[in-house]
Amino acid sequence: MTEVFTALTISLVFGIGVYMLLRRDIFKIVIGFNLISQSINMAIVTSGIFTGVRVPILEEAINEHAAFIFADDFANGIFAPIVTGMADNPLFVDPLTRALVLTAIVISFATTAILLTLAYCINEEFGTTDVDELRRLRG
Amino acid sequence: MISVFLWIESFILSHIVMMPIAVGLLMAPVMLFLRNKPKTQKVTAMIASALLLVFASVLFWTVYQDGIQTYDIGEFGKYGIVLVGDMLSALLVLLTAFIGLSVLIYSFDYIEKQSLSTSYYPLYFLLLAGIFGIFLTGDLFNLFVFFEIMLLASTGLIMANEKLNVTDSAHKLEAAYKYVIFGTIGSFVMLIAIVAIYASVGSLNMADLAAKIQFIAETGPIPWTIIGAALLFIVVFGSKAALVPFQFWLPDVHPTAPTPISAILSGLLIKVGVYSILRVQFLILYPAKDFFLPILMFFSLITIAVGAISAMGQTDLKRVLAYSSVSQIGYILLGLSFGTTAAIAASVMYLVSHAISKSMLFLIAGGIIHETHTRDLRKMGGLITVLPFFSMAFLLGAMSIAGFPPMSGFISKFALFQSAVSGEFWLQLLIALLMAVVTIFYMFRTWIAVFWGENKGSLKTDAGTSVSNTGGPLKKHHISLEIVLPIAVLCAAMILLGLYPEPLYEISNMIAIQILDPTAYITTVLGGVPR
Repeated sequence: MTEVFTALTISLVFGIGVYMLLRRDIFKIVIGFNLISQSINMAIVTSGIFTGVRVPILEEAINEHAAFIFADDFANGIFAPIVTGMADNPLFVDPLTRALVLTAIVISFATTAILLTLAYCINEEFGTTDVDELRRLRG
Repeated sequence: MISVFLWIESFILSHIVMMPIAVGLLMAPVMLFLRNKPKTQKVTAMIASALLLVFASVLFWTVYQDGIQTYDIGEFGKYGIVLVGDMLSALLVLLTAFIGLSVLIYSFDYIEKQSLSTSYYPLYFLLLAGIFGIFLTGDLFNLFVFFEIMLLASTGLIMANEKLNVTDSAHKLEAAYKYVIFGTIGSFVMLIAIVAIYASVGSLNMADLAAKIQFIAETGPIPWTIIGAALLFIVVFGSKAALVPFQFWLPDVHPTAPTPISAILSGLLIKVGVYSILRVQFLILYPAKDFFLPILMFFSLITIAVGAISAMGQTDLKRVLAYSSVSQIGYILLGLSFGTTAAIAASVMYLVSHAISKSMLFLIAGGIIHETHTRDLRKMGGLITVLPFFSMAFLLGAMSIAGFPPMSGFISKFALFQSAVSGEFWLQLLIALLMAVVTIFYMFRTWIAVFWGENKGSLKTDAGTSVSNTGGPLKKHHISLEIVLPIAVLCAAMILLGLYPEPLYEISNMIAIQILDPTAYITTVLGGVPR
């Protein structure tokens, strides 16, 4: 049930972001970009979470399953890291998605900063933040 | 003393895959600290850029001699970031370092002093580091990170000021806005595709992904998420490479950017899209090739036609070259979409040849603009008496783009058409040949419009007054060595590759074989464990 609600949330935020992206004001477009990037970040995080899982502490001393989690088993069609689908073993949350999402957040922060600076410069130069006024190049 | 040199040598050789990225990333803040000392900054930039070329050559030689090189960042194995230098990466890193050095020398005289010191140098090295990172990384998410570095650095460089006020800042803002918005949407799509792949396969290492997707394809049908991700990647890399439905940003951005940056954008940044298609689609997602190759072929044919036909009607010198880039990238992607070894080798040759020729043509266009103070073809003409060197070099570049015999463009075009014949792609060959004729027309139309006939008002009279510019007396700017030298070097490289293409041909064939049979790549990266 939680998967359905997460999927709905992600798609709703993404939809609002796309709607904002199609506005004429640059600042609304920047907000749209942020919403889309947040929805993608949520998608990244949820791609590592499954219901009824444990926190991944994967050291031999602490967890006895650490050995097989990182070992590929091509003969049986098992790919490392094993985070799901093992019947006789506990499931684990995938820890890598957090690292990915942190990087993605930082990058989207930098992009937003550049876009806002650009919007300010465009406002100074053109006297408006309406993107429909930016049609001097006629590409 | 000697032991210190030996230590440095062994240090560099053991970190050679990391070196280009590290030097680029290091030089960005160093340049920022030196911004109050323009002379020191210039010398440092020169040395660093030459050093990059040396490292790239050493890397290329090492890979050529000893096979694929890997570099593990942080001892996490395939779960961490791995840098991989295979033949394709090494060749493109060498190309980037070569064009990067030429363009840097050119921009000493072309870019305005203030802009050069404060923002141009740091962003330039950041851009180079981003491009090197894209070429060398062995991790899908790291590829995305370097794409972002490249996007943000090039956005800043598009807005750099030139000495001449040919392009007004409103146009630059508009072009930068289009570029960054489109690039950011592309990054989002790329992130979605990467997450789809990660969620369905559970790895981000390219070699690991290649092995696993190969395994999945052998044992059963390919999951639809992987096919969807492959198509999304076509969208992303196609938009970077200006494949036709996504080509509209290029003719605005490339002419508006300052000329050295136009050369980098047209020479290298659109090639990054081609490289990524080659790496991600052909190395990792090759089992899904039945789904994306026909799409790639269809759109690359349209790209060739749209670019060539649009270039015929342009009146702006740099815009002709930008549309020509669109058309030529269509040829490169057409070669990839044939999917045979010979066609991929031809595409790689085409890529190298076009990068050198188009960078040179943009640099010459900058030199012409320096002399005439306009980009409008209708106001030029008769420049052959004033600029004999540029007219010769532009003619050679136009011959290379159009595919005339002694130039590198001929060899690559010939190899591409030969691979189309041997693969029996007759209709595609017909369209490509037809558009090659159009290419000859628009390149020589541009050359004639600029250099032959009567001058139509762009040249200044001896009294120092100008016919086209009425804003006071213009000071005559001499064409300096810093502008001539890079053009001469690139021109020499172009002729050399045309007269003696065997090494490039051999290397391209090695690359095509390595790409289509990734066993060596996978075993080297995953630590010698055969799969």
